[in-house]
Amino acid sequence: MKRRRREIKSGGETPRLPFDPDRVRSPEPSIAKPAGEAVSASAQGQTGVTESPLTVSQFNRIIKAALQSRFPAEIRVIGELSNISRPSGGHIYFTLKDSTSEVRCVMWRSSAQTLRFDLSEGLEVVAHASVDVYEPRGQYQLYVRKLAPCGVGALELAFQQLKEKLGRAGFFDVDRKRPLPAYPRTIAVVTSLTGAAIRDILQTIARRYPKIRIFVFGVRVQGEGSSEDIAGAIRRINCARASLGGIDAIIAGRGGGSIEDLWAFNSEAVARAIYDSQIPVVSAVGHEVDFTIADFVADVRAATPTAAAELVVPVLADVLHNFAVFEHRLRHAMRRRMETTRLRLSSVERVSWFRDPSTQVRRLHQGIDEIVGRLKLAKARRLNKLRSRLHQLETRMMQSRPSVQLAKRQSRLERISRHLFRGAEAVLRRKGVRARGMEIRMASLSPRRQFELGVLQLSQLGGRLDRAMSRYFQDQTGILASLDARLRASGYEQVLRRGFTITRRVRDGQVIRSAVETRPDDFVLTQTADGQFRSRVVDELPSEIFDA
Amino acid sequence: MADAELSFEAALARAEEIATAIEQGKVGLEESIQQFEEGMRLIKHCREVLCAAELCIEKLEAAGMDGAAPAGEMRDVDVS
Repeated sequence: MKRRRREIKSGGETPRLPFDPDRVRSPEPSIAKPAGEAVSASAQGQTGVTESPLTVSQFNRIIKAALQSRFPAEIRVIGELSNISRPSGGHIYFTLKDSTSEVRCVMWRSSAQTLRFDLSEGLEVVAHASVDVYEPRGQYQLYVRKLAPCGVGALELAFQQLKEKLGRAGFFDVDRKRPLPAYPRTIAVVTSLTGAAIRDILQTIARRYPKIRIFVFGVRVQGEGSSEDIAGAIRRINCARASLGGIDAIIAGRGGGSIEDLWAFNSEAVARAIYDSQIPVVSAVGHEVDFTIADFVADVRAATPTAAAELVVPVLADVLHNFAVFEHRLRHAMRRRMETTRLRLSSVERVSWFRDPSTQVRRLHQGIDEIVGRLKLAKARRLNKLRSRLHQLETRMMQSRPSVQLAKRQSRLERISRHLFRGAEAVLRRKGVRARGMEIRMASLSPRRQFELGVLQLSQLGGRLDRAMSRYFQDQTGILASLDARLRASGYEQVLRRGFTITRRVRDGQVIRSAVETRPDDFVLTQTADGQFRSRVVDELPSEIFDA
Repeated sequence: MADAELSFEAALARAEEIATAIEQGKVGLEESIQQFEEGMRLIKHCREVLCAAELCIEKLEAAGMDGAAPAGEMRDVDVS
């Protein structure tokens, strides 16, 4: 048997029909095998070796019957969830698989509704199911009645899933938790009317602080509809709080129990009701060790219902003591204040002014007199100082009168001018010029006249210079001319030695080159190589002498 | 027991304010005296209200669409 199971699980070779078809009970005997069908006892699990083949319907039916007889009414199959589909009808279709095989599953709505946790891809579960065949499709399926998560209980898993979801949504954030009022006047309690919880709460309050109004809203705390009851109660109290005169806090809880019993306080409905509550909520579920989702969402978590009551109401004696302390503090503060004032008053009274005013006044007067005396003295001294200073200034002023200044400067000017004149005179005398006359003349001349005289002198000098220059040029020209003549004369000395002569007219010194240049009785100067002689022209002779 | 007057919290807060003001001595003497009297009055009032209050346990039931309403004194719970 064990071996067979393993085969089926891992999907090994196709199993043969391990049954005797004869003993198969068909659900619809009317469509039983036709007569002569080869479902004979002899066939050891062999069909097909017959007269005619099976129809598909027949075959599927046989398979169905075989499976149902092979497996007990319910088996458990472990695998991973996959391909989860939840159409609107409410049934769930999914596949259960392991590393090598998979099988199709269906969970009817009625079973699906009992699911406590969410189905997610890859979640490992144990399916409590029956095996059946969907004949029209020839498909065998697991019809799952119950799913249990592996490794952890269904409830634990559901708890974890919801806790994670609400945690992410900020339901447990510490900032949103409100403090409980210190002096509540009205509170509401949501719990079962039977059971220890309500009794514990009411007794604790009656003991500690029997001064408040308590509204008790009885609800179912476990089983069908309990989460709706609890959530609804919290919401209704919120709605009605104004008409109830204001609710300071809500205690929601129950006594101890199993996780199943406490399950209502793990529901999303209750969590949301607490989250939405405008009134602070104290959760008081089960015992110390029990932690529900409601505990995480609540503003304050109490370990037990009694603890909740203790958290919500103060102790009356403490409150009255508090009042007394306040009164004492006020009185003490007031006393001290009075004391301080009294001390100040007495210290002020001790001041001499209060004790003996007239002496003080007299003293002040004396002080004033003294000051006045000093002031007068100072004033007189100062006046004297000013007066003598004024006198000094006056004297100095007199000495430096403008007329005095002017006279002083004028005499100085005269002295300097005299110096200058004497000096200039000496210079001029040294130069051999008639200084005095000039001095007098120049001194008496205005600068403009002196300038004009200077210009005249300059032009006179200029004329003399011109004449001197032209005389010089003339001299030089003469020298030059004579130098020229000498130069010429010296040039033809050779010619003269040969016997030629140069004859010049005495009259003007002109060299005679042509006979026509002479006139009878002209004197001429004839230059020979070694001298010259004078002659008189007798007459001009014709030139044929030379022509011959 | 419904009182529209100052809640304990508010009254005690005011008393605290007054005590601090007097202790610090920043206020004049006459005003300090006035405040002192006010503070004492407040606390006396709180004490009176508290002493007059009584424990009252009432049942609440669903009412209207989403409301709740008192439904009488609860007698079946033993609080002794």
